[in-house]
Amino acid sequence: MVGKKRLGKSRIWISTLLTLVLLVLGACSNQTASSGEGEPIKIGAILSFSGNFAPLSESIKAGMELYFEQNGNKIGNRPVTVKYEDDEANPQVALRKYRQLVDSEKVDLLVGPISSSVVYALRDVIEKDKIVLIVANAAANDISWDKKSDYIYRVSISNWQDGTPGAAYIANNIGKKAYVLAPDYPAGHETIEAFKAAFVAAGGEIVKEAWPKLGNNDYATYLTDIQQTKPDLVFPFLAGTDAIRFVQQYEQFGLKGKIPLTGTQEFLDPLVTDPAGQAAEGIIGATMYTAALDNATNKAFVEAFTKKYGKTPNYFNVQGYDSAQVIAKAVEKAGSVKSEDLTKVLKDIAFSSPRGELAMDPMTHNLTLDMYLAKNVWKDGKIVQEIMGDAMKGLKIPETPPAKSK
Amino acid sequence: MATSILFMHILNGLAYGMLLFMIAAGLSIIFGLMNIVNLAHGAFYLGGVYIAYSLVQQNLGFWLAMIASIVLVAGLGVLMERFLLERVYGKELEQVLLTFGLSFIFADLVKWIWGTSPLALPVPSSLDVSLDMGGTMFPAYRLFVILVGCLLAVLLWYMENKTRIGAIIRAGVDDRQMLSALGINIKVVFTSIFAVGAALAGLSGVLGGPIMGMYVGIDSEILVSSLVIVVVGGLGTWKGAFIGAILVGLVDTLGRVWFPSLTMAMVFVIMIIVLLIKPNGLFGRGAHA
Amino acid sequence: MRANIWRTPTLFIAILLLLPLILTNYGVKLTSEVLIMAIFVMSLGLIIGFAGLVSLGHAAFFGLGAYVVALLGTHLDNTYVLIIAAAVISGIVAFVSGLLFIRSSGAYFLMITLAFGQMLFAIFYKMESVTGGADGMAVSASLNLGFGAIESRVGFYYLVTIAFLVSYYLLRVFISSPLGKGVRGIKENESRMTALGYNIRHYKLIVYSLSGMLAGFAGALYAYFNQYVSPDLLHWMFSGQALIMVIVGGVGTLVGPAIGAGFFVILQSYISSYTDRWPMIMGVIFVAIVLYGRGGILQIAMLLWNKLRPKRHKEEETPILPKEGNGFESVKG
Repeated sequence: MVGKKRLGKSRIWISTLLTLVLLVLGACSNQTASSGEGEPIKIGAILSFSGNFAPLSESIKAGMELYFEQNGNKIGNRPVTVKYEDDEANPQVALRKYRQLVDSEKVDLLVGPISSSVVYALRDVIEKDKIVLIVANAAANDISWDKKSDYIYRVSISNWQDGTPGAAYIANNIGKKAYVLAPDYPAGHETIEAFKAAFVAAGGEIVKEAWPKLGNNDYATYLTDIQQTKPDLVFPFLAGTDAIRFVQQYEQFGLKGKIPLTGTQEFLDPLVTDPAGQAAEGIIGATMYTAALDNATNKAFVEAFTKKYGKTPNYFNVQGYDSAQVIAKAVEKAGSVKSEDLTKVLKDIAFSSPRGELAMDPMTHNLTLDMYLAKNVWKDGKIVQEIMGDAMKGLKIPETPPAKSK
Repeated sequence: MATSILFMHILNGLAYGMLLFMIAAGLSIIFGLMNIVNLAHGAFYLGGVYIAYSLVQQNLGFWLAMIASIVLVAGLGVLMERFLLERVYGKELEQVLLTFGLSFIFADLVKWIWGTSPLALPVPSSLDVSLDMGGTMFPAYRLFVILVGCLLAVLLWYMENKTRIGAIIRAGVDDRQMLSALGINIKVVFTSIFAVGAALAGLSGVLGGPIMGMYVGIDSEILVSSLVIVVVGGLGTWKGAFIGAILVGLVDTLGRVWFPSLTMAMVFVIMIIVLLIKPNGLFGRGAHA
Repeated sequence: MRANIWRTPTLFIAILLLLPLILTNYGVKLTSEVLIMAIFVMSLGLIIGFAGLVSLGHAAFFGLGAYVVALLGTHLDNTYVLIIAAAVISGIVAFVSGLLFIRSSGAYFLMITLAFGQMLFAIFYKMESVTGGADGMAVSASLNLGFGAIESRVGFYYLVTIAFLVSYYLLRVFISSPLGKGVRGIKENESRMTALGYNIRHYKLIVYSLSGMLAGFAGALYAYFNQYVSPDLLHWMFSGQALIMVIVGGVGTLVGPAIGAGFFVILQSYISSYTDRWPMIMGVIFVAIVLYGRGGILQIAMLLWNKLRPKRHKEEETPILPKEGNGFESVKG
């Protein structure tokens, strides 16, 4: 440490200088305000490119890029630029990135975020700055209820809509006694709460709830517990690598084929089922999207997507694609990028999604979704999703929080 | 709770603990002998599992992939020690910055090479069966992991106590100056120990991949778990790492059963209790730093 | 010697006061954030550089201070009370934990502070009905020092600047006080100080509590700054970042950690907005600082500059959605 003290001074000066140079540089760049014909429309995307949400963010980005590319990177006659920022799934970083995009880059509107904590953190500043945010993933229910904002519109799905639709089918066709499992954090609680309410209403019973921590490194304990509890079925809500390991270990513990595995739409998506492989065979649940959906928009989308990226699209790709699509439709219809014009159009915007014909619910600023029953089947050395029918048509999130079931 | 179920939970805890032991053993000895806080140790786990994944994809087979992956990770360890860590011996804060930086680099490198889409390393097909143990099913693979962990522990114990290398290490942990005074080529000792530590972490990556998963971010989680083990067991002993790992594995696993609301903090609570009673860990030989 | 001691601070004060004149809105906000971080990192630098206590859980006190403002602020909206409460509560928690932990040293201290930080993290994460859990909570308290709510960016900036300068000055005074000299003596030669009859643990405990207080104070300001708190503020990763800032800036000085904070925050927000590969670039910078730091940080800056330039041009000048798909593939490696 002696050497350090001696050199401390020059080091401090140089780094001060450097810091200041950076600061001033940053302050001076990107000051062009955009308005008028032919000026580019600037979109700021706040996603989580580092950390566990990276695959979701990359998928959303890929979907957005596909849409804009198909439309010549233009909305009307104005070119589109998208500036992607990494919020590290941390609200504090997200707020810094938000200021950078809104104050310095002067973006016209925002897309994002993955994490519910980020959408809550952005919500108040968005109200203040009156800038439109298209939610491409964050599923927190409250953003449609108490925290609803005139400037925030969700084109993905809410936790309530993820947990609810499969419950009735499962209770009526698979079994009455369910073992539920979800990460111990708000999204987990909200999704399971929704499933429980619908499952109990359909005559089912929750025999046990398990709450592993988010990013739990081993599901053995819970799988052993499931063997002991002997439920009719298991209904988990997990995402990404957690879901993959759960599915694989479910098989390793000899549960696959013995106790039916159901789940939220995460378990019916290639992001999870591709790496999980044959272990994911037979999982049944409700989902808003699979590549197998039979509609013209989806056929074109799957073809274009497969051509560009060489793989089957997942539902995050669709969320990205639809975010871009909704922005384009709204700007065209409003004829401007001003928030006061956009919000008028966004309230009940309708569009052709690969998920089907969709429309915004003006009461909740959340999409009215058609949910499909799907099953993972093993075909030609690969898991694919097979549609079994409709789970629920025109599913809206309730306008106010439903009473908690206990 | 039925005895058989309790037994299952204990097996689960042991399997998890053994994986942690493999990582923590290297970390502990590196810590004790070279006085290096290697915050990039989790990168060896990442390296192990990702390289093995790629080799398995090339149809090399799990076991060959495992060996190749361990060798490569050990090589990485040698390079790291020879060209980077060697320059910061005795400078703790510089070590922190350097190894923190390296962990950033390695994690991002993995993202760069393998992408962000989730991947999974399958259990080797020869062990992909579940055994019926009194009505409950248990994966054979986990029994295998426990076996490997125990064998390693015996091997390391033998090396530490019955061989010349062990004597050198023990002497080095107690008094580093003494080694050079004895005319031992300290550089070679350090590099080889570091390589062994890296190889063990790589091994745990390959064996742990099918259980704990592979994704960028697990490196820092595993680093924290193994640091906990190292200080609970006491710096610089295989024995400490072994007992510490079993303790952490069992506490974490059984904690999920008995104290489900404490899962996040369980391990840390145990660690604080141990350190309050024994400030140098269970088997620590006195503070170095 | 005396002139030397004061030259740096004077210049800093001048720069700090004049900065808003040349900076944009965003620049002012970013600098405010840097100054709050600087207070926090100085508090960590104090225990590392002057008492030899390397902590990996210091964010716990920062986050605690922020949560005090967020939670108490829903009942009582008085800035003075809230900020003082944040500092005092953090100080008390630091005192009590220090009482238990300070007999550990080196790596053991590092880990026990990490564990303690993670426990506090878990508490705020788990108390979902009160704190919103992982989702965090909005801060409802408004910043008002008795002459109207401070809402403008520049107003907040000057407030933080004053807070920073006062913190710095008080730390300076503390270090040159007999108490501070005793602490520094311990850092240099612990056994000698014991032989001289100093009670080392008491000294360390005082510094640790003071440092916790200052971290809580910075956290309180941060709660006002972002109007949002989340458990990330207590997580060990944030503690780790603060530790990096201290080391990058230079251990054993007061200004060093503050500069480290500025360097780290600004550089990271820069690099990460130009490339997804920012963790790697930051990593290379840290390694380079260790290996070539002696030759001057400027060398590293040049290296980085060359690395960044081509990327910058590409991203700025081509529209982000090009016609032929070049440079537009998602970064998959």
